[in-house]
Amino acid sequence: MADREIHEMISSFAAGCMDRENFINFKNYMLKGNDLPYRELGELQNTIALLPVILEKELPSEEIKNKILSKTFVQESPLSAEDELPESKDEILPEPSKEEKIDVNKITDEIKDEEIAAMPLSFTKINEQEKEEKLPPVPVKKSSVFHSDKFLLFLIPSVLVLLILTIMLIITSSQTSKINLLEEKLTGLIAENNQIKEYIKDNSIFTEFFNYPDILTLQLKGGKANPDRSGKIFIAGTNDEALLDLANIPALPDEEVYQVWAFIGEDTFSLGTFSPESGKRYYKLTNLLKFDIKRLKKIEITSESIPSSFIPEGEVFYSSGG
Amino acid sequence: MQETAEIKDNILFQKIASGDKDAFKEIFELYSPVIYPLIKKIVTEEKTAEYILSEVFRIIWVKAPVLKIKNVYAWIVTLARNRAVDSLRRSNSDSETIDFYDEEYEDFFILPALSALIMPFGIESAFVKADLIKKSLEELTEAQKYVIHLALYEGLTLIEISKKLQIPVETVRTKILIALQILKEKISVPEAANG
Repeated sequence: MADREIHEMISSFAAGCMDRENFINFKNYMLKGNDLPYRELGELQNTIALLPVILEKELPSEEIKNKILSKTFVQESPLSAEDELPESKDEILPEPSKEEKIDVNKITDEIKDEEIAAMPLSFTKINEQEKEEKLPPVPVKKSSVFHSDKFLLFLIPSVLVLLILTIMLIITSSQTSKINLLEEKLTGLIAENNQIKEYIKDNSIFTEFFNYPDILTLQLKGGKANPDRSGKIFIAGTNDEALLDLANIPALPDEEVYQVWAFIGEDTFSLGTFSPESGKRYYKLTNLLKFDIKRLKKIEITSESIPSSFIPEGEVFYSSGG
Repeated sequence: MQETAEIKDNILFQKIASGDKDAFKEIFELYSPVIYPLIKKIVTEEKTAEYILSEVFRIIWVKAPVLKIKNVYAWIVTLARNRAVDSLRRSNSDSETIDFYDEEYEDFFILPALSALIMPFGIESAFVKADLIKKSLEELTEAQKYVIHLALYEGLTLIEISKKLQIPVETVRTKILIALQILKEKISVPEAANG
């Protein structure tokens, strides 16, 4: 492969604009550790990653932050399952009392000592015998009810029922948290879907506009009050339509509109007005005044009182500069 | 120049890998002011941007223990850009050609594949370069800037840019190459610093 092709390829990869098939091939090639100018690729990846620092910094609200943090910590922890298990177990199960611990161990030992074949018949009797021989008397356990066949017949099914209920409870709570997670994902997907509709509507205006030949593109910068804002105006070569690309344009009071001005030679002409809409990015201006585009000095967008103004009087929100 | 291990961002990332929630909160505070506006610029819709932001931090939390990152700054910013662009591309695709988003897909298409020889630096060093980056962008031609904009913020591929601007794909490739070479020369990688 020629040198230039390699450089073009790594530039496209760094800019994240490779077509799907080329991306797959290139990434597989890279993952196999094949020859590439890796230092240059790293420099280009750093360059691309640095570009967003010029965007206006914006910290998400406390509400969003808390929502994200709590949502994230519900996810599988970075710790391994083995590390996490003892902690989770302690959180779910209460620490048994000393007495309960002794009892549990004792019963376990007793069962170990039994012959499995003899268990159904001799279990209670042997328990009683061993308790008398080996253990100090415990008031509660001395009760004949506790050691009777009736008690065992009652205890075993009760323990089984409790066990089943506990398992069902654990499964239900696990399913509930999964459902909550799925609900959150669904909310996100619905939001994405709504954006699809908005995007298609918005983007079709943009795409259709580019059917015009010889489109003049002018960069717009924010006025004194909003120097960090930026946008674009596309003026069709036929001079009768223009398209404004203004993301997140500030809202105006009800009695005001934005008005677009063309400074041509020594004169100023209005190209039209528009009202900002939340989430809308592209604004089309039609039936423009015909003018000689070569004499265009600059474009300005100001806020003016309704219906509109004959000359720019309001605050300059955007300007293409002199 | 400092070693990767000495950069604050890398230290925080290593702590996240061992489950340190405070380190995760600190990374959130450090990085969300950069990646939130980046995501909003790409997906524009506020609710979608919030969702993508949460997705980015979910990925950081889940993947930190299994990844060894040399440049945490470049990795996080590229991750945010990839996830947002993926969402945008999905919204532009018809359902027949859309990929199912699962872990395998995320690992291959969303997680950044950074060069092993990438120079490490922290977010504070990146902020120091902001004015220089603005000036450097001014030195590009309108066409070069627009092509970079379409690739970076509108998520268009080479073919899509070519169709949109009605110019050959080769011309788009060349414009991106030249634009990035100019920016690389002007900006240069900041010295690794405790940022």
